[in-house]
Amino acid sequence: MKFEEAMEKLEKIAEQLEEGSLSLDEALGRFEEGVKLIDFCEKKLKEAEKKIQVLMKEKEGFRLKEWREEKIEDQRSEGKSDEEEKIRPEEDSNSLFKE
Amino acid sequence: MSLPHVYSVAEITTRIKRLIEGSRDLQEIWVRGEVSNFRPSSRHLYFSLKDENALLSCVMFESRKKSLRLALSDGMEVMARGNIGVYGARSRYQLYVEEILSVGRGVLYLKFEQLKEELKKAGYFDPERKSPLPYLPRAVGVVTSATGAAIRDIIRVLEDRFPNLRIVLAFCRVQGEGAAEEIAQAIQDLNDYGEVDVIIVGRGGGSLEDLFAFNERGVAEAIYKSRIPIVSAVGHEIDFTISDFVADYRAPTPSAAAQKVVPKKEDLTNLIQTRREKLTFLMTDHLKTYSSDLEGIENSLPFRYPLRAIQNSGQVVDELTKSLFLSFRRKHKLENYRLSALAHTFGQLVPKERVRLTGEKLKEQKSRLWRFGKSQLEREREKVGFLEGKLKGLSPLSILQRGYSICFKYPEEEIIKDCRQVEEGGKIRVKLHRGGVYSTVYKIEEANQ
Repeated sequence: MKFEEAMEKLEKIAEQLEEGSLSLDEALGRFEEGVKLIDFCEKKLKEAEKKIQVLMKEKEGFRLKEWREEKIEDQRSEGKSDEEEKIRPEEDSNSLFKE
Repeated sequence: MSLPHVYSVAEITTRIKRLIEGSRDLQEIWVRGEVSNFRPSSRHLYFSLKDENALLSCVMFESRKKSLRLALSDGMEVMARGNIGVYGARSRYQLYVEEILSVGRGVLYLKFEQLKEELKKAGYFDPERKSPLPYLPRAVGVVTSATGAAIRDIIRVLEDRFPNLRIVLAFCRVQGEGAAEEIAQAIQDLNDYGEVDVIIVGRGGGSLEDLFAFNERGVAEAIYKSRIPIVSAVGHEIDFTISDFVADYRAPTPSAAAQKVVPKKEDLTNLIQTRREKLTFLMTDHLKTYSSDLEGIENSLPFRYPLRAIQNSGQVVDELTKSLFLSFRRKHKLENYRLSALAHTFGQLVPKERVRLTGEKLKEQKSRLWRFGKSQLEREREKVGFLEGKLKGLSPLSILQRGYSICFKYPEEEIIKDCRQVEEGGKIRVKLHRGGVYSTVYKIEEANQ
């Protein structure tokens, strides 16, 4: 199940409980289901493991290598941060690619 | 005989103007040539385009001058886009220029336009075939240069939004010869690898030529074929590339792409917390309503006297006892009467003593009957009281409210009544009046019998 699906189910359960037409047993059942969904969502948020890897193609399949930041610091030959460089020389404009 | 029509100068000029300006062949055209006689004025630009055999007057109005991105000078090879128009006052036709590009740029532009048209017709840009981006990707793939600014921007934003996110980088060159092939291959590789749920393809700002790899057919096709949704982020806000049109989502910059692909973890945590509170509130509310309903039911007649039927039969017993008693009395009376009659008839023949004894016997029988009826009734009343209490006790709610709890085996949900149902290390769920507890059994205490 996906995170967003669990959240949707949760919303439906809340609606059913809000309506108030459920029997006590049904309501308890929905409540328990809701708690399970919440636990599931929380787990989903925590389960991803922080990792930055570089995909390396091998003869058969792929290998993953840990990424190291230093590599980019010294040799910035190409491209400029889109936050650093707002004003550009006129010659370099690509305005002709406007939609 | 009528004379041939004689035009005024204005008339014929209007006619020429209409002919030229109404001709599709002369409107929205590109003209390539060498700039000559360039005369920048304070407002409009005047110049000519020439080649070996011809010369074309050109004018670029002040309003269009703003779009000019190169410094014109005589001798420069350019491509100019515009419409041929007539300037009647000088008997002159000229190109009213909308934009001017250097020839190199112009060729790139035309290639771009051509491919864009072709792919559009082939359905590459159709909104229906764009896939939605995942709400919460397991991992994010990034196709860009290892040495560019884009990678740094993307990683910074992704980490900021979702600190424990997994990122898989597929590096490639993003400009120069062979860059388009590498970009396409990297997209393909991430698809083959398969563990990412969304891919950012892009690079930081650069010149038109720098960005051109993202306008190549190979990149367009790789994006089109990708099973994984792709966010295109090439250059700056104002730069549009073919990859932007084919991608499932176009982000104005690499940072913006990173913002688009993952939600803020903090927002999700808050959302979950809100949902949890809401659910608990609703359930508590539900229980309150239910428990007041239950009280209502308990106080209503059929529940207060669930064994009214038994009481009724008790009444029947009462009545039967009474009538029995009456009939006994009648019988007794009759007997008495008969005895006295007999005594009277037989006089001394019947001993008085016997009559007295018979009377005693009858009396005793009468009280026995009373006792029996009474104890029977008592018993029934007791039974009713007991059942009433039991009924009240049976409501699970009132039991839980009094601080009892129900123990279930987890996850079988089987109610535990005997310690032998569970074992050490086993999981149980305890339902309480409010909420519940999941726990693990750490010790078992045998029942001492």
